[in-house]
Amino acid sequence: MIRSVYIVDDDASIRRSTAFLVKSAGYQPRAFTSASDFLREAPTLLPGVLLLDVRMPEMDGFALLDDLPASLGALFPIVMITGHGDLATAVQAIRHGVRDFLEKPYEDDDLLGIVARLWDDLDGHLSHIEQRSAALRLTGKLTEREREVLILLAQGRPNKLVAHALDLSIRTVEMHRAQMLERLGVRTLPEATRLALAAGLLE
Amino acid sequence: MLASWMYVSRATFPASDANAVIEPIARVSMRRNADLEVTGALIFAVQHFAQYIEGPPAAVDFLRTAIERDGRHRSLHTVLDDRPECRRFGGWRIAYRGLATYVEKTIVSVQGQPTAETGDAAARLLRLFREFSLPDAR
Ligand SMILES: Cc1cc2nc3c(=O)[nH]c(=O)nc-3n(C[C@H](O)[C@H](O)[C@H](O)COP(=O)(O)O)c2cc1C
Repeated sequence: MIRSVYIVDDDASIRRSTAFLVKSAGYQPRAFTSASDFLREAPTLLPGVLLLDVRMPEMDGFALLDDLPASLGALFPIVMITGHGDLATAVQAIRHGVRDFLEKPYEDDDLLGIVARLWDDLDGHLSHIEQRSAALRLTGKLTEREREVLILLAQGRPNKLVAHALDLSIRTVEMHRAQMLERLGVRTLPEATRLALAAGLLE
Repeated sequence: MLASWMYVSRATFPASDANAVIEPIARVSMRRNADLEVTGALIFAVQHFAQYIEGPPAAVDFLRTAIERDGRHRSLHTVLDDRPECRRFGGWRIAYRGLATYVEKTIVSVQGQPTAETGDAAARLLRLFREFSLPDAR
């Protein structure tokens, strides 16, 4: 799997050396000269960690934070990098969604450690999204009635109480239950419950 | 009269369990601290905690005893315990929880130093709490 790292910096030599560093650690670097260049392409880019220099002439790093659509924020965890950091700026950045803050000059290992940690976290987030959409696709195949049966069963109710809650006979509930499992492509109720959870049906 | 206590510590659970471990801590603290008239803030960054609490001396003592024997963290290091004139915080909350090594470094920088010599570090840590608790300026 490609693990992208995006670099936004107006200084060509920093773009080159940072790209070299992250590439040597196995990431796929892609550099941008300005925050607006990154923003323009962001919707078509694969998820990745964004290394963002804050003092850039055209649009400073803080402006990018405000302009990055919320739906993309989770796909591009941001590390803000600055030569003029102070505690107040760092906390302000973090409160605005920046995931980490690094002061120049920094050790290569510090940067790589941060990238690795954020990529781990991003992996978890992406697989969560993927499980959710797979579960949504499957549960989307259920009829309204089967979905109701699934939700009640997943909440731990026995067939008898499900029948009572939906005003059906136990036999009909059993039929819906079998049909529901078949449509979901699973054999047991715990498996179906996991799908219901992942799809957010129990929230 | 008011007492305060500020400490740093290291989490004993893996980072992947952080949400599951911290949720119940937040729930208990919200309720109990309010009952005890204890205010302050908790920070969790990567693998480290920092917490500041203040309130009636008996309440702070009581919480300190509970927190000190809590197995979810270890290597507790007291950075400050003083008798402030007035409260530094208006309520209790989790001021930060996340993966920022920047925040963790600020916490770790006061760990392992004898309490008497942590003056600057204590001030910086207190500022960290304050910056996270300030009303949003932007
Ligand atoms: C880092 C950390 C901070 C905590 N902060 C508080 C707190 O501010 N207030 C509180 O009531 N419990 C706090 N707890 C939880 C207590 O240690 C304890 O579990 C809880 O108060 C219940 O205590 P009991 O088991 O003695 O009833 C904290 C735990 C940890 C690990």
